[in-house]
Amino acid sequence: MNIGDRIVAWSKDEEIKKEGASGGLVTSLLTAALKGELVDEVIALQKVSEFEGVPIRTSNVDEVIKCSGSLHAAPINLTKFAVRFFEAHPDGTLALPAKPCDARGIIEQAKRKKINLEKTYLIGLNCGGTMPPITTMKMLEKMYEINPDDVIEEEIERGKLIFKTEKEEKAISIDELEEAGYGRRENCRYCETNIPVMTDVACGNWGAGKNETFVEIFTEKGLKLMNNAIELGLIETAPATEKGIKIREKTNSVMEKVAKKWHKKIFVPIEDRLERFHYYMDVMEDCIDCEACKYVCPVCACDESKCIDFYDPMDSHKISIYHLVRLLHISDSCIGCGQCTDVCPAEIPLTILHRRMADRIQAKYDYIPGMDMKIPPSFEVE
Amino acid sequence: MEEEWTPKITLFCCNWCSYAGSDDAGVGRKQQPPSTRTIRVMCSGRTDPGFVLTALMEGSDAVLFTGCHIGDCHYISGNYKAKKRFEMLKEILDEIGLEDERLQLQWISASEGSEFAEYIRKVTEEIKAIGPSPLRQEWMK
Amino acid sequence: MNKIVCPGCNLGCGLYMNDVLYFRKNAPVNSGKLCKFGMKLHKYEKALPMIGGKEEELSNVISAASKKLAETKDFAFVSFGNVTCEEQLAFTKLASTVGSDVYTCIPGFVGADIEKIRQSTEIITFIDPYTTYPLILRHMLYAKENGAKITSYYWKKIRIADESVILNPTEIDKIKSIDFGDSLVILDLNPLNLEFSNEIINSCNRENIVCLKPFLNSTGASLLSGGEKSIYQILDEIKEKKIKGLYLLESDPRIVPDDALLSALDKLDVLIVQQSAHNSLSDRANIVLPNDRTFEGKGTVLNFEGRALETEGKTEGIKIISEILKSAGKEETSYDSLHAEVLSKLGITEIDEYVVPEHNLVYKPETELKKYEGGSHLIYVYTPFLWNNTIDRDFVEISPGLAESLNLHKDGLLKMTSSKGSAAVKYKIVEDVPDNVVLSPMKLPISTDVITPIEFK
Repeated sequence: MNIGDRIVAWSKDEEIKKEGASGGLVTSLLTAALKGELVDEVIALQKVSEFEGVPIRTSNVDEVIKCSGSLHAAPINLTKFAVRFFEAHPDGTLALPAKPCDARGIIEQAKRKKINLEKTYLIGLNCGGTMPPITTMKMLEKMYEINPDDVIEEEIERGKLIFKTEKEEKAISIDELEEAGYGRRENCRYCETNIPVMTDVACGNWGAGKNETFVEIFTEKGLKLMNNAIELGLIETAPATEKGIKIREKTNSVMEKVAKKWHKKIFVPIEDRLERFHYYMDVMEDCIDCEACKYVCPVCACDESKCIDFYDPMDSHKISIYHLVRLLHISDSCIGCGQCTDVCPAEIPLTILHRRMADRIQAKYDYIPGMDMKIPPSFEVE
Repeated sequence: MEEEWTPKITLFCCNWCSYAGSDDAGVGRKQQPPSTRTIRVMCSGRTDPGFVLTALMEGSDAVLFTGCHIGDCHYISGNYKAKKRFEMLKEILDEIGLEDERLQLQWISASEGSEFAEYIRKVTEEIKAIGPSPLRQEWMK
Repeated sequence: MNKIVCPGCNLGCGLYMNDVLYFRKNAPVNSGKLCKFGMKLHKYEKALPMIGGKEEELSNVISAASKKLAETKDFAFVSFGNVTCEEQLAFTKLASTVGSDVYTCIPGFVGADIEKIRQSTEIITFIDPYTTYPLILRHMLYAKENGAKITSYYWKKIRIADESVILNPTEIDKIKSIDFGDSLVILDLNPLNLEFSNEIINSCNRENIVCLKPFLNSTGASLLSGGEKSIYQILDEIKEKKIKGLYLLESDPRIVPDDALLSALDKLDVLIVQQSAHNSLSDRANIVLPNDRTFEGKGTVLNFEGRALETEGKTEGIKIISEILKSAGKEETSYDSLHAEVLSKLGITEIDEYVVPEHNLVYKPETELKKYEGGSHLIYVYTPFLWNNTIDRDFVEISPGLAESLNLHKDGLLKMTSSKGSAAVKYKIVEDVPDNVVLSPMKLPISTDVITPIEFK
């Protein structure tokens, strides 16, 4: 096996294969990394229900096995959990599954010396988007006529969202769902990074057969991960088929196209200066100063937060300096993961505000955050 | 007759060039409007974007960044940093709908007293033309 | 990770507690929306078992407490509801061994659920959703987006309201002439505003009230305990020596605006406190019993909608109360039996169900709405978060007009004098507050009541 190889792989453990998505490869890679002492701990999403996962950090193989299965309706970003790992164990090694936005957050944090990327194994997950749990439950009742509690499996395939219960399987196209106001989270709709090329290996079901995972190996670390799991006899591999590679590429390009369309639809430029001023005034008006958006932000990396340095709840300003400093401060690193909008108790569309600003700055400095370690954060001056 | 409105302009001067330049303007008795409030910083690189935002929120109609000419920085690279910050601030202020004139950058050396006075006159006229900042609360004096 | 409920607004934002706090994105009540208060929960200094200010073995303290309970006549039991339903029930059992009941200081009124806010077309609100119950805001915004008209009656302008009627202590009677019609009413019911909320509850359709309450489990506590006294009445009776012993379960009488009232506590023969946090109240007590932290108890909690929420954690508090029952020669109790009894008493079979709304306000405060003469007033606009020590706003709010007339400069201090003395505090300028009103989110030492007449000097 070499860097750049594209293969298909699956777990040899029958139980993991059954419980995990697409042949349970990711779960097996994580357990192998622990068993082969490649890493000290792994981060995984513990499944509570189809609509909820809790991130856990563990070195216990059994706990990792319990975490298998994909959770499209538990939109959680693992970056800050990785940051906390390195706070506690500066010399430790870590492995975690990473959607593109997890991986990009981790790389931005690594640039800011919060994460040691050389000691982090990123098992990338192809991602066509995640869904907000509560809206999804409503969607199941209205569009699918399925009781959310009965769902045993969900999957995204060929632009369709599939839900399975003990009795039936229903698929509705994502376009149709999104027309009706359901479907993926808003920021996922316009996200153009579907295959996490910045990770060590990218795993996904695009281009793979039933019960197997399509894997692309990007780095030395990725190679190590795979070989370790093969040596331990936990996974089996086969070369990817030409057809599979084509399907994967096509899926990716279709997703990108859709994302561009959504971007255009959501980010309508506000040409008039005064209109823009009132837009920002109105939209931030309901802020309750809770700082929850900062708490969940995966790219926010100050030791002593700059955004509250100049901000005092005693000020009576027309626009909160807290938000302005934050807009400015993460304009280079914002990856559009949507966590801030998810968490805001005043329903401020924060991700859109941050992306409006970030699009300008990132285009100006020709910098896309979280793609590789080559370019330093754009604030850096020679 | 109603008194003519004078804008309030916050002026950040670096210790080595632009502050000396403004001093030179004063010593040389160069006429300039009483619109500026000068804040001396050791280097234009010290001007944190937070300073600028605070000044605007607290009722400044405009904020001026001034410092040594590029290449002349007393601390070698401070004014490069200032320039980068200025560019980013410019973007955000434009994004939230503030006029272009409300944030300006000008390099002024210690001997450029008359240029300094001329610059302040020009900026004051510009701000007068566009009126008070929309960020200013009505009760702010 | 344990599911917990934040004691701030007790709506149940879906927090998880482990070594770090995390939140549930699919939390049934709150869809993963968060406010900052819950995230600050874990900062506490734990109270240790003590007798007379000295640390002791827990078993000694338990037997000392049970001895005191047997010895002292006229014991009063107070629990605002900072404990789970199970612990509250155990406490009620303990109170009944000496023929008493538990006072919660908040009436057992259970109003409509928040879904009703979302469906309303007309809303009348008496709270400031931005600071007092932030998680309500989202639902009000939703209603507004769907065309609801929001009218607010508050000491200052509320941004979200279409019409803000600004109240003034000098014309507080204004609330008597509100035409409620079929509007949904959002009201805060807490130990300090009983007269005010009573007035409103009595003049509108009770089924239309969304009744917000502070503390972790005010609703559950008030349904399980029948004691009907306000915190002021209890302090008065202590002063008159009608109450000689007081047992406080996670309840802090220091919430009363006038600290002078607390001197009544010195008149007690015995003060037992059972609480998790070490503070000046536990220093003052004769006997201190530990407890699970407010958000660490295992059991059932009713939020202000009357919806049963599950919390996971320890049952240390219940065990201690059970031990006291045992050493008093009574039947012991356990979490499981308490849990079953709680469910049957509340008339529910499982978590996430709603209890039947309770609109009978049996509890009647003695006094009418107080009248205030002209002049200036300091108003204590407490938030439930302040009572849980999770808010740090140390400034008052005043109008631009007042700042101008007093010639105040930025970063200056506002000087105020009441009958109890003077204070100088930081201030924030807020538009649309009456010029004769100072709003304080924190309790100031010069306050004599929720509304205190003051002069600016």
